[in-house]
Amino acid sequence: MQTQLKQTSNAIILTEDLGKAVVTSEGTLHILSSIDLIINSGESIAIIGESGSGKSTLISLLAGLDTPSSGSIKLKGKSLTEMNEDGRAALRNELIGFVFQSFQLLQGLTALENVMLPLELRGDKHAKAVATSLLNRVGLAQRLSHTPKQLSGGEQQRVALARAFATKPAILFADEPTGNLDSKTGETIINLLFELNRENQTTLILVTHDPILAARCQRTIRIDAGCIV
Amino acid sequence: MSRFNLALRLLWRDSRSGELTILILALIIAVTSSTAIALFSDRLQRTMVNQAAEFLAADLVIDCSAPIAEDWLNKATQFGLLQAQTVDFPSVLIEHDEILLAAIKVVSNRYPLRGILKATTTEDYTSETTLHEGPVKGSVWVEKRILSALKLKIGDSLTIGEKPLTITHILTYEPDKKGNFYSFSPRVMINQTDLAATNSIQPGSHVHYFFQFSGEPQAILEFKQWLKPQLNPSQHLVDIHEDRPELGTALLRAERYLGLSSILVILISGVAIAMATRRYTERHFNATALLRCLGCQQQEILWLYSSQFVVLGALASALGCVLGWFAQEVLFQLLKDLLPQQLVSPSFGAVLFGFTIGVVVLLAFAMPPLLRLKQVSPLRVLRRDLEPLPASAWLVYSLSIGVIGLLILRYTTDIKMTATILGGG
Repeated sequence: MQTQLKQTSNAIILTEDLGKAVVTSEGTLHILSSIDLIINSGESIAIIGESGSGKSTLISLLAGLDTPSSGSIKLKGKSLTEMNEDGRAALRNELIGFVFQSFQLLQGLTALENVMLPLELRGDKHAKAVATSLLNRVGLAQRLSHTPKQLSGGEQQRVALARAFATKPAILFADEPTGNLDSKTGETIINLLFELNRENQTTLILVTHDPILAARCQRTIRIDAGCIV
Repeated sequence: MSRFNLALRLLWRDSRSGELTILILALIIAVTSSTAIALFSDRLQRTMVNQAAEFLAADLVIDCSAPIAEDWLNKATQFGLLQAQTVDFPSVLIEHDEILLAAIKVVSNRYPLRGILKATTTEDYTSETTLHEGPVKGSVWVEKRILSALKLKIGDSLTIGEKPLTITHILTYEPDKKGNFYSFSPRVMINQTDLAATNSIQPGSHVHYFFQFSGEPQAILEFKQWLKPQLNPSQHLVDIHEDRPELGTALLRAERYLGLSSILVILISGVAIAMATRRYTERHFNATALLRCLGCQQQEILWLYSSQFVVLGALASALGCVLGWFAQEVLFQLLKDLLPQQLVSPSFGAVLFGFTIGVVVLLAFAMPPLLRLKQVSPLRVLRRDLEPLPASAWLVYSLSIGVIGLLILRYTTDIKMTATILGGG
């Protein structure tokens, strides 16, 4: 009981009876059911499972990108389920960073501008200096003015990592960050991700198919048919 | 950094990447065509109005059988209007035992306010000149018929009533010659300062007084509105639309035709803008989803893109205005054989109209597709198949039909015709 209380007081993400269902022509489809999660600040969690098991749906709910059909989610004590879309957007800007499988860089912007973007949305006056420093940290000091098309996949994911850490988020969601990379580049990126995570004391939620990668996280949550197993 | 600065930076980045090229081109074409047509029709219309005004020798005339109150002239001065007066009456001339009924016209200084006089000092017309003022005190201008009928020549004396005056010019053209009975009588024109000495106007004389005014259209309109309620039944207010109905109707039709043809261009441009914006927004779904994911709120998304469009619209409209200016000059050059030679200068008002049309048409046609960006779900960063709902048909049609309707109403000033055109379309 005491352990449970300690865990709850230190929790940065807390879900209770979380569920997501969609109505289809063939009836109601339950994508996630009865998800109870406590993730502590600074923890690194791997979410693994087969394709279609509900991993991406789970992180979309935890990040406030989608709304649950049932249950509740709290991020740093704030109830996501009671917020409207604009409230969730404000919370994402304040607490969350993202790394995606497909990098999600804006094609018209340079590497530097892509990293500056979340800082500019916050109104950070030192956006350029912070972004330059981060790109330097991920080894792209000579690529500041290059657009995504001029960068390799690995370099694009480095830019995405720099962007994700630019706002010093409390929580980082990484959705299959090596899914589009060859194994060697993927390993480099993962090393960098964990280094940055450690330096920034960020809570990492990593979605992956890769059991070796999952093993590098402190805890693994397996999802099957929408339930934690 | 302010949101506006961020919008400008995103606009700059998008334009640099070529994302905006089609939209900018559609906008420039729209504004260029609407400005060119606005300038062309405005110049042609004002030229036609100016030429039409020459038939009155003024913009506005009070036609009456007795002099008007001094207060009215003072009021015209207050409105900043230029003034001139003419007095018409028939008079019998007797010279060298010959008798002739003539149409005397007494003119003040500044006559004619619009148009020109033409006269010659030789009977073979070789020295015909254009003049902007009538005869000076002590002189008289006559039509050539007077000379032959009364056996006179230039330099001779001609007595009008009791006043002998020296013939200095043969009158060959006067702008406001009326097509009434007295126009069959040959014209004699004298200066207003000689009228009293002729002693021609007696109680019961058949005299017409014409008080003429010219000035800025707005001042003329305001003076006309002030004057109308004060006129008695023997006083008539005439302008080009009332004095020459056939010319007034032709002008009105020309205005409507040119205006409606420009609406067609604006409509086509609007469709091009709508299509370009739709393409632009669809290409920005992913970027918008990312912005939403990074914490941009719905209103911020709308503000971010609409402020970019306003800046884009202003820049493209300004460029379109410059190109439109050159386009109408080329148009006038191509049609110079068919159009009046003396064209008025392009007006800033028409350029401003073209600019405003550009921004308004951009917002009306671009806003519905642009509003879709506000609806982009942040979840699209994970699920690319999530499309925002299309803009409501009600919004799309009401905005575009509203703008087109207002433009048609502006050109036709006729609600019934506007409804007919919109209904027919």
